[in-house]
Amino acid sequence: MSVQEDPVQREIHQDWANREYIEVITSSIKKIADFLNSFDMSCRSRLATLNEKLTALERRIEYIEARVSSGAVGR
Amino acid sequence: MPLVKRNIEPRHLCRGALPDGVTSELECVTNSTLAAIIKQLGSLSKHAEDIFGELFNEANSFYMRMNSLQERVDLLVIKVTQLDSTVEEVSLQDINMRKAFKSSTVQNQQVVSRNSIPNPVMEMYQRCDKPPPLNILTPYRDDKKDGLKFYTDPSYFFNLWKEKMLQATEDKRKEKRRQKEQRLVEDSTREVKKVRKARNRRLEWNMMAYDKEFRPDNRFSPSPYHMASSEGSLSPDNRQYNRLFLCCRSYASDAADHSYPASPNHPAQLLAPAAHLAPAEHKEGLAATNPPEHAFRPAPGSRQNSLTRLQQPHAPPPPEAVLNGPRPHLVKDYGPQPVPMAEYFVPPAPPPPPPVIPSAQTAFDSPISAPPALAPGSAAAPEEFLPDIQSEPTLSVYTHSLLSYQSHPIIPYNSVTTRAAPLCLPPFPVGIQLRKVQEQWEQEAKKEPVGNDVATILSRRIAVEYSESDDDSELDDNEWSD
Repeated sequence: MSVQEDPVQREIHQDWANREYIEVITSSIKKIADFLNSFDMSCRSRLATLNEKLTALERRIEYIEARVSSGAVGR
Repeated sequence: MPLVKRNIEPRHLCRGALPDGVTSELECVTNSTLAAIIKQLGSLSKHAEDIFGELFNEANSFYMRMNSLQERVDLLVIKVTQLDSTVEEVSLQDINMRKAFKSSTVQNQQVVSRNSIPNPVMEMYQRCDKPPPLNILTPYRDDKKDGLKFYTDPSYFFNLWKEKMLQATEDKRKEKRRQKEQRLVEDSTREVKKVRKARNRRLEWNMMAYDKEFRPDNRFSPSPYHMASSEGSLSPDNRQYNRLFLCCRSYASDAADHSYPASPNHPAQLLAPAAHLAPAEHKEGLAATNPPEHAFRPAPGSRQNSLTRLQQPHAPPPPEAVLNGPRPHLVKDYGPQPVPMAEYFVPPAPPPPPPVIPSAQTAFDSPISAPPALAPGSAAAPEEFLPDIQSEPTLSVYTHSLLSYQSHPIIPYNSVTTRAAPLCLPPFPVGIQLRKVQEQWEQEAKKEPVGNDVATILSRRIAVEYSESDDDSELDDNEWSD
């Protein structure tokens, strides 16, 4: 009986090992996906902050240009 | 339900069907699972590339903006260092005359539209089922509308909103114009009133040219008040007035036609009953026309001051009763051919309406031949009318009415064609003309340069609401970019 069970047992053990391997791989895939999502979100938030700063800078420069060019008389 | 932006494709690893004739099933499942994992890794890497690509594009745009900003800052630095307070051209006028600084505020529009759709969502959209191809039927439609728009129209709500907003802006503009005109009228009240009085006098002459009962005065007098007052005074004499106004209606409609050529509705309203009345000589069928005819009643009463002959408010009904006899006779002729009447009274024809009354007096002799012939007949017919009929006022009234009737075709601005034409036609050509103009206006309105975006439409609307001066200057300043 044990001789007959060995190949089955071996097969089942092998199967379990394979499943554990697959599980490791899929969990790492999920981690990669999570990382990508969080990276995307954080990057977007930082880029949005940058965008706001850029817009504010652009408006200030526009104003200063208007003051400097039209105010060539200076104040 | 929120859409998932990126899906890793082989969602389930171990659910594929096993092929037949495999001895070691567990290994088969393991192998298929591993294959699915590899596919998942592939889609994952594709998504990762997409994510990094979007981030890179955004960062790149910021980089370009930053570069341009840097260049501008450098230029400004140079300019500022070159500023020299000694080399000035200070003049207070220049400081005040300079255009005030206005920053170019750009509004983000169409943020969530087909142009800004991310790639994975676009791919998902393309994988979806398409709507039925109703566009095939578009060339066979008569109204040249897109066939698919009847099934699904993404721009429907925007078009609806746009129409509403444009309509609202137009309404507000009209209101503002009316308010402005009212203010102008209030400011210059005296002058305007003088003009009005002059006009009214002329119209009063016209009114006086008629008999009281033939004056289409319901326009000047508000009908509900006069109906209320007239009903109280005329209740005992309703039957008389029914018959009297039979004739009065026809002449009044004619008068309305000539005196008020600009209003198609009024003559239409009057012409309709007149058309009814002219063929039907039934005096009893006038009960239906009582209420509007009562409106005529007080107007002659109101103009008694101008008329010297008719001084009693109840005097008009008796003359009307007297004239009831000849009136149906004339009513018959009124419809088809008013010309015979004009020929009959040629001598007083040339003078315009204001001098009608003096001419009536001068021409009193000429039509006397007609009234005496008719008066006996008329006197005989209305036996049941009031006994206080005075013959002279009746005759004078009759001449007045006849002259007024005859004077109508003479009035230059009246179109003789309208009288010659059947009674029901005049409104229709005028209406058709009006529609054409309206179509032209609509086309012109559509041709206005309306930007097809929310910001311009809203800015126009707000400009119309809050502007107290010309709107055009504000509209020109609002140049939104998409």
